[in-house]
Amino acid sequence: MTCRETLDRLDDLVDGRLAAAERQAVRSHLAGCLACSRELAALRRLQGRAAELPGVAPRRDLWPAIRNRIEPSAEPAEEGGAGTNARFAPARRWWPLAAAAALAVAVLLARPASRSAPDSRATIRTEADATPRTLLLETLEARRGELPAESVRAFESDLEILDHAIREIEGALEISPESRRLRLLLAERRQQEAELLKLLARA
Amino acid sequence: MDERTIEERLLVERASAGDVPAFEGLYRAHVDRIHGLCLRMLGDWQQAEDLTQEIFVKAWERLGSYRGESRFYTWLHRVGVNEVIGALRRRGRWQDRFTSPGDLPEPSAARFPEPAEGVDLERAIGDLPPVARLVFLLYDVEGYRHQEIAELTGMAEGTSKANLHRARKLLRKALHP
Repeated sequence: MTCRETLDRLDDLVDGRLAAAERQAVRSHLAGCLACSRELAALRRLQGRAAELPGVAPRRDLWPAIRNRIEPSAEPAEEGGAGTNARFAPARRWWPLAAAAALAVAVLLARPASRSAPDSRATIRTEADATPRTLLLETLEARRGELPAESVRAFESDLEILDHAIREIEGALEISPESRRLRLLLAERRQQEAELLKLLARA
Repeated sequence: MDERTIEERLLVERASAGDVPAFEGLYRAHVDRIHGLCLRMLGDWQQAEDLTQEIFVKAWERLGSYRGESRFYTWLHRVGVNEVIGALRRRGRWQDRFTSPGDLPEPSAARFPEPAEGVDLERAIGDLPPVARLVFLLYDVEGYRHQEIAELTGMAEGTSKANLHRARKLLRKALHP
């Protein structure tokens, strides 16, 4: 293989697009050609630098203008109102149910800690997307021996409260899956699970 | 799944439900990369900032279509690339279909502020012929494959490969004369 033929194939070589026989032929040439080897090294350096190019911050904060454009559509849709975002329009019809769910959640979160054993809720939520909760349980189990019993009970109690709240919201969502309010409540409870996980990790 | 990924997923979930502060968190996390993409593609700060704004507004409007199969940034980036290409098309600089070196704006790498080693590369990228620059940015900087570039831009895969080859050759020459 000539230098010209080799150089024409360097891109395909670094991108992994050469068949085995051709790759071998290129490598054989490179093994005995300093000039082509230098070209290959330069190409790899270029690729490395390109992949590491950093982001570039805007000169001004773009968020206020973005917020101004999206905030009207983020408000709960008014029935028949102008400028209603179609994505959120169904939320209004389910508002009474969402309000009831929110109240239920507030009551659950405010009530005193219970003393339930962790096993009682081990099968409450098994969805694939319950990762923060799964991590919480795993971390709790792993650290059970080193944490004070009182702290373990407190974490278990908090988690149980969150589980109850999430079950309530998920139940309501089955009835009104389009409810923006319920989805927000669910997201908030999952956020609380993640925060609980952080607290546990730092305990 | 690491803590950062979990947090981002939760932010996406909240933003999808209409939580504007959660969306601000996503904006803060990704704005520099999206703006960098726009700036390198367009070569103009004002236009890049305007388009970055458009991309995040579009992302907000389309959040309901994000299903979580890929990382959020991957999805957001795809929204961004589509908007960049759409902006170039709207300017009427797309008619030559990747055959003319004059159909995209000529950026000046001197507009990039960082006085680091990367400036030479930024300048060299800015000096590339427009289509070669577009393909290089998508392939080597942003990690797209030729098939994806072909789908996004409408050019043939062979055209994408040829322009990448050209861009890399010119860049090597510019950086290591």
